[in-house]
Order: sequence, then structure tokens, then C-alpha cells
Amino acid sequence: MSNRDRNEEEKLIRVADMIVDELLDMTPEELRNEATEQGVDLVDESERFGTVHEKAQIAANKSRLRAAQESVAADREKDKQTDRVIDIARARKVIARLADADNDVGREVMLAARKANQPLDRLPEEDVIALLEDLKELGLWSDEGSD
Amino acid sequence: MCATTFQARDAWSAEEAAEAIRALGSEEHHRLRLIAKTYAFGAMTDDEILHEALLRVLDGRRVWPKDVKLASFLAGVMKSVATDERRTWWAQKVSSDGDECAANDQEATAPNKAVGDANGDPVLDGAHLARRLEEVEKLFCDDETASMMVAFRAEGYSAREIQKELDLDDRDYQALQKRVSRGIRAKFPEGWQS
Repeated sequence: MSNRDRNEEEKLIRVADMIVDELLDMTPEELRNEATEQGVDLVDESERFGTVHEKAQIAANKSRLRAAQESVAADREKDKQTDRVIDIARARKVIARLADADNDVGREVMLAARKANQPLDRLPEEDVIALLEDLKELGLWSDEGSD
Repeated sequence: MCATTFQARDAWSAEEAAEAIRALGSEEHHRLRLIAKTYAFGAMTDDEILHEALLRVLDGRRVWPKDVKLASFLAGVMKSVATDERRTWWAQKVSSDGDECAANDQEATAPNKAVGDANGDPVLDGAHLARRLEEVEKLFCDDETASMMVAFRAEGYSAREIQKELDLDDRDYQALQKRVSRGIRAKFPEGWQS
């Protein structure tokens, strides 16, 4: 948009503002009389407005529904993250208990901790989750009533 | 040190605004239509401006302050809708033309076109808008005071400054503004696009 475009646009907007000020000052009676003089049927005018209004209302409803859905999805994501924190705490307890067992599972857990080069209670969250998933896949642990 | 606090203006909810819009009578529908036509010099029709303005209010993007009349508020929203659309249209036009220099070159040599070009696209360049203003001023070629009123308003003079320049009291100024505005609307009943 060039300076000239903007300048000329602003001039027209100022003249439009003057017209709109005058329209806003008109009484309903003046509007009715002017419409009659110009052959404008106010019933038709209302019907046309009603059509535009209805479409806008439908679009607004859709837009608000979308916003509500996004809000619910965001809340669910937040809840999921909270659940994950709880799961991590639970998972660490499970890992510690499994490691204490003198069996294949315990040895597997200790091996994983050595690979990660971390004491068992300092294993990163991802490693804890991955370890439990591996054990589950191998059929060495089940999360149903196991803790 | 004085702390400044910003307080949101007391406003109606989107539901309350929707209720008020539903309750509007036919004269108000007509008023809003005329306002939409007045701001519709650009890429949108009056129907589209009205629709978008109502949508922004109904979906809560535009909030109606309690100290503003509904018609005034909707007029403001329509003005901003139309301006946003023109700016977007210009931005896309310049972008599709390659660069702004190309757009300016085109503007300097553009023939007198009507509202739409050969492709039906609106012509919104400065030259076109200037011609539109000239047409408005020509409406009052036999009425120098009215013609000056249009020119002063276009240049951004305040009401007080115009009154001083044209030596008008409050009542005469109001009467002149009404005459000029109605003269323009009578000449362009379908808005400035026509």
C-alpha cells in the first residue's frame, strides 16, 4: 500500500465518518420517513438483515464450539501431563521393588541402570518409562495390580 | 510515585450483545445497512461487512462497552472490518504484483477504471479513491460552502476548525453537515461502490 493509497483512503474514511455520524444522529422516525421517500421497504430490509444475522450467528456458534473443543483438549493434555508425573513416581517405586528381587527381572533392571550409568533412583524419567515398557513387552512385568 | 492501573471498561457479554442485536427493529436494520454501505468502498460488499461485524461481536472477539450505544459500536466495528479488509487486499495485491514499486508504477499510469477491473477485482488504488472523492466534491459544485465542508472533512479538520473557516455557528454547522451527508447518500444510494 503506497503512501498515496493510504492518504486517499484516509480522506474517504473521514468523509464516510461524517456521513455515519449523521446516520447515527437520525431518529427512527427520520429513518422511516427517508426510507419511504426512497422507496425502501423496511420489511425487506429487516428480512435481509435477518439473513445476514442468522449466518453470522451460525458462524459464531461454530467458532465458539471450536474454541470450547480446543479448551477441553488443552485441559485433557494438562491432565495427561499431571497423570504422567504421578506415573513417574509410581514407576520409580515399581523399579526399586523389581530391582530388589533376586531373579531375572531384578537383574534386568540393574543392568539397565548400569547402562544408563546412573544410580537406580536417579534414572531419567524417559529411561524409567522405557525400562518399564521393555519389561512389559518381555512379559517380565505387568502394570495390573503389580504395585 | 503514582501507580497507573488499567481497568477494563464495563462491557456487555457476547450473549447480552446477541440479545440486543436480536431485539433491533427495522429502522435500526436500515440504519446499519446504510452505515455498511458507507464504509463499503473496497474489497467487501455491505452484506459482507455487516456479516463480519456481527460475527466478531457474536463470537466475542469484539466487546461492546456499556457506555456506547449499540449502533455506534457496530458502526465502529464495521469501519474496522472494512479497513482491515482493504489493508489485507492491498498487501496481497502488492505481494502478487511482485513489489510495491511495480504497484506504484501501475498506479501512476492506471486508466480511469470503474470499481472492478477486467477480472472483477476491485480497484482500490489511490488514483481511484481520489477520483471518488472528486465525484463527491462535484456534487456540490453549485454550493461552495458544502463543497468546502467535504474538502475540510477529507483533510481532517475538526468541527470547530471548519466552523471557524466557514464562519458557521453550531446550528448552521449541524444543518450543513446533514445536508452534505444526505446529498452524498442520495447520489450514491447503493454506497460508494456504485
